[in-house]
Amino acid sequence: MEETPNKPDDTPRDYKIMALLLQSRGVEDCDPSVINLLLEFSHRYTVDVLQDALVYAEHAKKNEIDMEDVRLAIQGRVNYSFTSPPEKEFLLELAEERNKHPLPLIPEKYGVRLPPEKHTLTGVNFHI
Amino acid sequence: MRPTKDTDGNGGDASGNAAAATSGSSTAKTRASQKQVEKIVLQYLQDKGYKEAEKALRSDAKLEGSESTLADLAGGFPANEVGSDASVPSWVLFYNEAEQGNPDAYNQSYGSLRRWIDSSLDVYKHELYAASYPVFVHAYLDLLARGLTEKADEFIGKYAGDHVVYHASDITTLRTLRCADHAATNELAKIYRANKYSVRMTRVGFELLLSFLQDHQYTLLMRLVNQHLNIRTVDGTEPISSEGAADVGITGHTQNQIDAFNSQAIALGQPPIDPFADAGRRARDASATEASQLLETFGRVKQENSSGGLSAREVVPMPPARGADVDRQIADLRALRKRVALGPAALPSVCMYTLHNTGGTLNCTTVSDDVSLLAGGFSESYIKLWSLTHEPLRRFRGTLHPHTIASERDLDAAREPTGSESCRLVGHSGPVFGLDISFDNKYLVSASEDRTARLWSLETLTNVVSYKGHNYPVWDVAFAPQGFYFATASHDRTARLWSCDHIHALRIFAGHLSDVNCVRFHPNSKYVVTGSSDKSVRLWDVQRGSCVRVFTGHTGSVDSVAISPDGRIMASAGEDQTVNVWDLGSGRRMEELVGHTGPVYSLGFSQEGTLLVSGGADETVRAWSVNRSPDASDHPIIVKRREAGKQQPEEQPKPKSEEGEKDSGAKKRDAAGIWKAKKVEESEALLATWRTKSTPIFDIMMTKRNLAVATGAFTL
Repeated sequence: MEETPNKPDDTPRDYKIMALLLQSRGVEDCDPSVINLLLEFSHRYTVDVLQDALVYAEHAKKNEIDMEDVRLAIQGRVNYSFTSPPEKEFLLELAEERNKHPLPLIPEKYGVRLPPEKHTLTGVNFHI
Repeated sequence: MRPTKDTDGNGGDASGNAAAATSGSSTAKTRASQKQVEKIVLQYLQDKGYKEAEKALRSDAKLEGSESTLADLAGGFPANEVGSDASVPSWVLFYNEAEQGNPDAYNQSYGSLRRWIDSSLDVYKHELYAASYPVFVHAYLDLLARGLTEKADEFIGKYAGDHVVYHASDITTLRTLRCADHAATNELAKIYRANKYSVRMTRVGFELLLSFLQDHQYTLLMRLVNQHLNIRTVDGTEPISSEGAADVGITGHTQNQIDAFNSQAIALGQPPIDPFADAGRRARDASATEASQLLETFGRVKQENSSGGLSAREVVPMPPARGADVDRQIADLRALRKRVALGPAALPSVCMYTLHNTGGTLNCTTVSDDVSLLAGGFSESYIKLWSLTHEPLRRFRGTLHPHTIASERDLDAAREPTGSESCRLVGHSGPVFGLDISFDNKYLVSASEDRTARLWSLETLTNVVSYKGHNYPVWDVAFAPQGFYFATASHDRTARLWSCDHIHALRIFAGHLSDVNCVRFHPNSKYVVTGSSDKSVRLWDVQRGSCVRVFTGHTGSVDSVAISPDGRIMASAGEDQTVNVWDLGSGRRMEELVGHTGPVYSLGFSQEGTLLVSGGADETVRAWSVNRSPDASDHPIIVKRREAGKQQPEEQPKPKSEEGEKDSGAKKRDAAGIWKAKKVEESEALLATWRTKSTPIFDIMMTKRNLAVATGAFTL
């Protein structure tokens, strides 16, 4: 990212934009390869979304891609990439359900206290 | 609202809506003229696509083509607020001609609000500023939602300065939003839109604010205040320092006052000593004199615990005490007698373990309670275990036949003849982010990005159980002090409680607004403390699974928490480089310790609870004096500031690992926090600072004898 004053700046425009984006989010310093990775990712993502949008536009018998097509393409992907944790209300319901049961009593037994053998990784999992 | 002209059925529909909705409005009634109402009806017809009706209304009412200004705002009217069909009534409800046609309305009204606050009495300025912050955020989001990006930029540029002190990171995030879609999908914007921002004000201050808004007809601001703010008034005329205080901001508790919330009863005492495990009676390999000394110490400990301890009913179910517990009690008693008394004059010794050649792949470390084992979790999904004593780690041979083992000697023979100083535990399928070793050195539990927590037996050095339940990376894990239970903290905003013998979680602690970064148990195992990226720390009851305390006051995400051994005090620290000390009983902050110049990753209390050690990314270990009670403390705090660390940290022989690259990829260092190089004003409570050589501190703990043990990875 650094250049000497008398050398012409030959870093690509996209590289500079990505660096500015990082700077705007508060990143003070990073390895140069990080920017390359981010550029590659954004390129791949954009190409995938636009390809999907093209398919949708063709399906709707349009000649050009529309905002609607792009939106639909993004929505189609959002379910399995860029997922976010469940909503708070859902988690609270789940928690209430789980927390209803009192803590289980400890059974009187000797030996190591572990789950039943079928749930542990201690078993022999091959057969000769 | 004066009755409108009925043109046809559709128009009548709209005006019916309008009339019904505005029957309750105050300001709109007085100001809206018939012309305005007709404009609204026209816009409604245009929106709905009723061309004929529109033409008819236009010709009847002889309106000019003034749709342009209205269309700007109407087209971009935030549909998410009340629903697109209901937009007309709510629009009309707060209609103010001066404001609606004018895209600069936000700027002007907020600007005059600010000027008014500046000119108000000092007594109220502080809380009015605090109340104006959420208005500022929502005004900005509204401008974005209407597509007025340049206006939004101007707005934030002009007014962000006031709020940067307390809300810097939020403002940087808001600046990056450029259009309505961004505002609708960004996590932070959604949190602001979905939750009411609670603010505490005096009654007088609140009335001043309301009357100002009403007098000047700032209906835009009033709408924002009404919809997005939750103002709780407090009686009395004393000014309240609201920023960074207990119940300000979005904590999810809009109904209850935090003070009332934080006054739920909790039991912080020590659990009763199991009569079976009466160590005094079973001091086996001790000489006669030692036995009597141990008995004496035991008697003293029992006396201290009898007051304020827990009753048998309140205790979390635990397995009955066994030989290992008795041994531990005896060891604890010995340690109690040999413990170094710490204070401002007697600083702890710090034993620092530096890991070399990790190449940025080391994510977390932990040391066992007796400082005999050190475990490190790596990005390459394995855990490396080092023996810190001279005992090598010996796995079992592959040819082990359980039926041939008849005695301990046979078991010993079944192990490898020569072990090694270190060994690798392979099992996870993602980077390992959290580790903890149980008190008896029998189990190690690890948390990883592959959404599982795994239990490893340290006697066989193999993976025993894999606990599945989280659906997002697990950031931290901690064992209960008496063993058997452990808790995990994950990106899915929950912490869960597990017991070693159940593969599904026993409790889910849900309530944080953002991912949970760290989790620790209370010494009596009845409570769990979690710290999160939503800048709050919560105390959860293990038996009921409910949150009993919320501690707000951090200005950055919380990366580490620690509880004092007597269970009354808690310390938390994180990205904002300050360590906060809280009283668990009342939920109030006792002290704010400033001094670190980088995020703080780990905290540890001394056994008496009067000294706190912390380590972080600024490559220093710092010791702080904790004032236990607001009134007279045992030792007076000496106002002495040490500059550079005078004492050298002792470095033990460095455990080596074979990695060679130099990538800096550890999770904590990539956190998008703001590393402010603060002009260091250090707290008076800072007793000492020890600097390492380019080694950020990942973990620091105090042993039972008050020796501080720190670990870090050497980073060039």
